[in-house]
Amino acid sequence: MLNDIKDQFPIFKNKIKGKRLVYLDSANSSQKPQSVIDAVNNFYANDFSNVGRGIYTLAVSASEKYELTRTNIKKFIGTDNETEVIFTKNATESLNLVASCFGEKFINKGDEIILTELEHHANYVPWHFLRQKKGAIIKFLPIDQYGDLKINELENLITNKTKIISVTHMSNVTGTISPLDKIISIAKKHNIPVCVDGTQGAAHLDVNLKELDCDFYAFSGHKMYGPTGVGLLALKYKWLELFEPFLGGGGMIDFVSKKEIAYARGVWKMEAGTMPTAEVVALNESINFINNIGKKNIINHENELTQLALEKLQNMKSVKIVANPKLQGGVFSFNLDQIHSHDVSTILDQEGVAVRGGHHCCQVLHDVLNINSSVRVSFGVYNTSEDLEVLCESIKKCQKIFKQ
Amino acid sequence: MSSKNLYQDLILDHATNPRNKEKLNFFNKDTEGFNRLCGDNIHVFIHENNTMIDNISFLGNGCAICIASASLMTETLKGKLESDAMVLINYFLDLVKNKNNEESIKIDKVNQSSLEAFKSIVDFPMRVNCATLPWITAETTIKNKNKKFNIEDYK
Repeated sequence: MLNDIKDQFPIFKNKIKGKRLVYLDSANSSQKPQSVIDAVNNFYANDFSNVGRGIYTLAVSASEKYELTRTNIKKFIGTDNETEVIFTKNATESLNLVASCFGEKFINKGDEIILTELEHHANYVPWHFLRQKKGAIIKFLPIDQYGDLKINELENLITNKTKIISVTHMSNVTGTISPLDKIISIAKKHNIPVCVDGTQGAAHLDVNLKELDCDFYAFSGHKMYGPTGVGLLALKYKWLELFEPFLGGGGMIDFVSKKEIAYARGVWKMEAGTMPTAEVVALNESINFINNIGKKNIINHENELTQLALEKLQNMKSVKIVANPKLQGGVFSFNLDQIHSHDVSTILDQEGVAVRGGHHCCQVLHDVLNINSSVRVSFGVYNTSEDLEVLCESIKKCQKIFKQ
Repeated sequence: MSSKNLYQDLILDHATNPRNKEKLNFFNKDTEGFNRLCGDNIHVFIHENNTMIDNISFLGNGCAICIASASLMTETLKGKLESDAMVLINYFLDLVKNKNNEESIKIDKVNQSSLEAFKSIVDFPMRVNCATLPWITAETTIKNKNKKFNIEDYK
């Protein structure tokens, strides 16, 4: 089904140190299909103008293309009429926007924020700012021995001081998929809004915000085969009305005088200054790319690869998978006995295998797992079982170099 | 460039059996060096008598390159005068950055040949800081500059 997908990605035509590229770092950022690259080029070559300002032909057409991406993104994540999507710089900015705007208005000293031990620094540091500025308290929903969230403990963490729950859709280290339906239904019972870090979920998992019914869903374009520089935030319209603007400048105002300023309404209120226009326009092609393959096929493909990889690696001596969650997407991490993740990463690189070593911006999780770092393998549509063969051979090479 | 060139026997030996990896009972200088990018950390302990490095040790976590470099650093600098230690540190820092070192003639052949095990790191630019962290931490300790520092901020 996905056999010839690799041909659509020009990067795989290049050799890395004379070897075929085995790219296993899609959780970091995905590679780009030709259609997305062409869309960026084409927009600059033929259609470029700034959006939302001019009334000449080019400006109108650029604005339409920009808005078309918004419309299609909303369909892509299955929003209802009460949910809007705003463009940001990246998922990190989307999460900062939520923490900053929500915190400004609704967090006071002693109020509680619930995160989980799985969170990426992007879904911890912005809330830590509120701990520092406002005296908020951060609680972490723990994981169990398999790396799954201890969902039964959520109810105990909630008090009448709990103001928001912010949780990842899928861990970028263990591949753990959070039981969002359960988390959101518990939160609803207590009338607590839920923010979801969907950075790993958007391109790899089923996303239907209408069914999910969360308040915020943050994700980024570059992890879904799209350009860098575009982040997205889906949010219930009521929050757009309640929040003060995140950034001030051109494009987000209704009128400005020496005495007062009125802000634009709706999504425009949150999109100040010139946006990553070409990137937003090209993101539409990455949605088309994913839709053409079909989310179901992508999920099946990445599940099969993950299961196959885990089987192979678990049978290799001195390989330790850091967690074995029951609900897992196309990501997992491992360590080799007595070999540091950066040494593994360097040796694998010599074989053309791109994996990330380190803490993957999840130091809390690594503390909980009682490891300093790990080697991460993450899949995209272009990965194949041949990639896994190369991975295993390269791991054997590490063991050989370290005389194991 | 193959991985074998980077992970030479001398480096693997020091990485798997690091020398002087302990906290000294008596020390009068110590510094913790961090590499923000990867989380490596090296804590150097020195006991000096006048300007003589009587004893030196380290504790820390890191990759094979970093730990081997720390181990070799302590072996190299132990029993050296501060001024000689600085010559050796600068020699090593220049070596892994492929820079010409004008004082290399001052360095004895034994030290030179063991430090040269790190020469191939020039071909692995992402790993240069792994090798330099222990040496820059030692330099910072000797000069009493900072108790804690990050290699990314080192100029």
